[in-house]
Amino acid sequence: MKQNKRKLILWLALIVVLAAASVLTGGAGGETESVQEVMRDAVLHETGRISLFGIRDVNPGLVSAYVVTVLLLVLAVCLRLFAVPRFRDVPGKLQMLLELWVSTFSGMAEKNSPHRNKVLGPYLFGAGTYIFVSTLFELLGVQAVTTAGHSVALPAPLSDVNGAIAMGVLSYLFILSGGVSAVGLRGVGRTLKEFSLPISMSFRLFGALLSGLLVTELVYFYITLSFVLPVIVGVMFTLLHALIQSYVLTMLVALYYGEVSEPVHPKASKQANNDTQAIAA
Amino acid sequence: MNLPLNIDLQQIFLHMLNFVILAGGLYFILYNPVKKFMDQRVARYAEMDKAAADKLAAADKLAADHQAQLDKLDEELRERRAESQKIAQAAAQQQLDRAQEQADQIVAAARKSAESIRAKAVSDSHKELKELAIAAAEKLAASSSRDAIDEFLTLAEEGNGHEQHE
Repeated sequence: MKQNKRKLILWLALIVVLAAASVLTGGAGGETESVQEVMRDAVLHETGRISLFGIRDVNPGLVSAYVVTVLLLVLAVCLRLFAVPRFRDVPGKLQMLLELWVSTFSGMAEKNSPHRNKVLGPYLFGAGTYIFVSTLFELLGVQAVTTAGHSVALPAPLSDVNGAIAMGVLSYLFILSGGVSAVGLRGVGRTLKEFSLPISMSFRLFGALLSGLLVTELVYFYITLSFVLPVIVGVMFTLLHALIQSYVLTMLVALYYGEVSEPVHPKASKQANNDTQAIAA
Repeated sequence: MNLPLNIDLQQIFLHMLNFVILAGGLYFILYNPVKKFMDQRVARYAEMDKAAADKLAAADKLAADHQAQLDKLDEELRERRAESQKIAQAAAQQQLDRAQEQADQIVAAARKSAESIRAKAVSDSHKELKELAIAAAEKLAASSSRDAIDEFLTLAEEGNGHEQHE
């Protein structure tokens, strides 16, 4: 029995090795464009554009964003209808996951902005979830057809510069709104002091996700690199990016929001200071 | 307007719109109900905790009250015991006094009785001596003087012996 098993494993291993050898020693893989063109298109989307309901041509990232939004909203509705009504005081696995998901962001909001966090928690929840899920979305490899008739796998929405800028600018405006609602014009001043924030946040997101995309594109461009390696560079990098970028952006937003919405402490009057000095003397 | 890196303002706004819809939807559909449930549970547990603390405080107070009552009862018991001990001691002393008095009376009565018996015995012996003396005198008168005197003396000795026996 044991010998038969060993023979079977040897036979399967031989088949895998021979198949890999025959594929790897074959042609170039049928690439129709150069690696430079692939890279350039991944960054700029000049050629691989998709028609948005026939209205206008957009980058694939925007379509990815819509797909992610629809998926997340459908998931949220399902959870709201089937999981939330069954919540118990002693939680099950799914309930624990949902509570962890919500409490991570609400806790982050309460910790980093103790004075004002009612709106911050939901924003962090939305942003964190969007960045995490949309980054993982590229792993699904959902196919779409470009206007040129080619098939492309939908990328992570934030690997599109427009998506990253939207996220960064929206986060900056959200921080600004927190400052204004908390301390009025002083909040505007505090926020404008960090004028580089939207650019840094946008390009941090864009750069991080684009680098993952480019590495993946590069790996998949050569058929000889398309075995085993994508498991590491594709899946592991994407998972790490998803976790790190969602954490970084939400943490930055929470920190800056807490900073600009901090209440103004009234300065002690000169008279009071003089009195204190006199008492001390 | 051609911006570098294929930046497109309309697409940026479309991305923003998409995110605003997503964030609002997630807030209303998922975040709010889950947060509400968690907050309610925290409030319920806090309430239970407070109720337990109140009950504990009430139990402590009750225990303290009971302890105070017990202390009071102990004190009362001690006072009553001392009082009853005092009463018992007084009663015993009274009984002792009475017994002493009775004993004194008995001793006095016995002394009196012994005195009267002694007096009676003395008077009896005197009377007997008188009778003996009379009888002896009569005999002496009847017999010779020497014999009469001897006999008298003999009889007198016998009379002394009787008195000593008594």
